[in-house]
Parts: sequence; structure tokens; C-alpha cells
Amino acid sequence: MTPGPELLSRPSTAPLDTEGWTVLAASSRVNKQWEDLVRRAPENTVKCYQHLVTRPMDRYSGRVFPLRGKKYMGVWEYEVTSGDRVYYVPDPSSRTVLVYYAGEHPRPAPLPPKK
Amino acid sequence: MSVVTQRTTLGGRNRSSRQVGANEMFDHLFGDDLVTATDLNRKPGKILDRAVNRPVTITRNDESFALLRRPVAQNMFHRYQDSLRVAEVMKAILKCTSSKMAPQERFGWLLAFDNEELLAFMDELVGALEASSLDLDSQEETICVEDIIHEWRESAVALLSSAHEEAFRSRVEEPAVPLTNPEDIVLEP
Repeated sequence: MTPGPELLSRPSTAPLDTEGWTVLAASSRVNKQWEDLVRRAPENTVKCYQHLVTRPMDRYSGRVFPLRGKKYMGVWEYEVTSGDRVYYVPDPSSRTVLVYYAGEHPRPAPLPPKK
Repeated sequence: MSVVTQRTTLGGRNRSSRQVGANEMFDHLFGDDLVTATDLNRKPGKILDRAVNRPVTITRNDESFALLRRPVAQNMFHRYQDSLRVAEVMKAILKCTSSKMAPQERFGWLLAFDNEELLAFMDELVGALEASSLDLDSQEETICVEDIIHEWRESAVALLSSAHEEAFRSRVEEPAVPLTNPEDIVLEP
């Protein structure tokens, strides 16, 4: 599944948020990771940024969604490309989005063998 | 022959009138709107007009056929595929909750979740299946079962990734900076 230009072509049922959100990187290191991703996938990252600024809590089934599980409740994943991910935490109260990871799809650690 | 339908609850939710409509469609699939193959041969246009609104059963000797619009048939097939997929995942979830799942198995990633979370996964899958079955004639996009499975699998990857955990944990350790607007880079001279 490769996200493409059609990712943000689906109309959202919510009105476009004209005020916008403040989008931050958790650190200058994360911002650097993001800039590297922009150079690798310019078109998709432009769309990602637009999404974060306007509709960070709009879900696009299978592409932009909140992570499941209690540990990362409130965290959202944006699939920039088939191999790259952005993870972020939107805060509706302050209208701030905090991006804390931007880069290659993280690899899961192996689970311990079943005893 | 008519299909017996029942109003049921699932997870405390009562079925809506739209769900009753879907049951009616299944009733009609085996309903008494019968025509013979001879009638079809003689009055094909009128039979097709009837099939626009509801499936028509065509009989020929001991055989019977269902005539229904192609989008309806397509939706039914997709719902069938979704049902199989949900059954497959739920079987894996049950295996997990009874501690019989091994990490190297195809659904070993489910082990990233505890039983409460797995039950929430089941609930979400069943909800999607219910929602997709409401209106077989609908051309609207419904929640895709495969997308739900994909999202849970991605969530498992995040849960199991040390790199992700490190990034999440350190998100508050350094001062935040404005995320660079890609257009500032893309449009660089």
C-alpha cells in the first residue's frame, strides 16, 4: 500500500479549520529527520504538513490514524510513504501538534519465544 | 423460501432500521418474487425493471437463480470476503487470549496487546462488519476491514519498536522547534 496524492483528496466531513494548528518538532534532531524526509519525499511531505496544520485529528482510514493500545493513546501515525512514518501528538486544547518521529518505518523488536 | 431474520444486539448496541433494511434484502434474495425462465425469455425488460429494486428469483425446472444488480452482488462478495478476514483475525485473537500464540506466527504481532486491547480490536472489527452490511446497495465508502487490521498491525509495530519508544520518551527532553515547512525546502532556489 503506497500512499499517493489521493491521500488528501477525500473530502473531510468537518469544515476546514481556518485558524490552523501550530506544528512543532520535539527537538532540532527530529526536525532534521523531518527535513531529510522532505528531501526524499517532497510531494508527500507537503501533503503531510498541510494535514498537520489544518486537520491533524482527521482520520484517513489505513493512512492517518490514532495508534491503538493504551501505551500510545493520543499518538497519531501518518504514513508518508510505504516506508516512512511520522508520529505526532495533537493537543486540541493548545491547538499544537508535536511531531516526535519522522523517518523510516520503525522495526519491531522480536518478541521473546513462547516458553 | 424466506430468510428468517432476528433483531440482535452486539456489544450493547441495538440494530437500527437501516440494519433491518439489509435483512430485508436478504429476505428478498430468497423471497417469493419468482419468475420462470420462460417469463424471463418473454418479458426480459420487465423482469430487469423488477430486479432494479430487489433481487428476483428465476426458476427453471429444479434450478433457481437470483437476478440482482451487479453493484449489489459486488457488495455482497466484498462483505463475504470481509467476513472471512474478520473470522481469521478473531480466531488469532482468541488464540492470543488463551496464550497459544507464538511470536513467529503470522499473527504473532497481536502479542503486543493485552487481552483488554485485543477485545477492543475484536469489537472494532465486528463494528466495521456490521456497518458494512447495513446497506448492500450503497455506493458510499464504508470502513475497510483491511485498513483496521493494518492500523492495528502498525500500532503493534510502534509498541514493539525500541526506536519508537526512545523517540516517544525523549519527546519532552529537549526544547521543541517549529517543524520546517516543506515548501521552504522544496522551493529552494
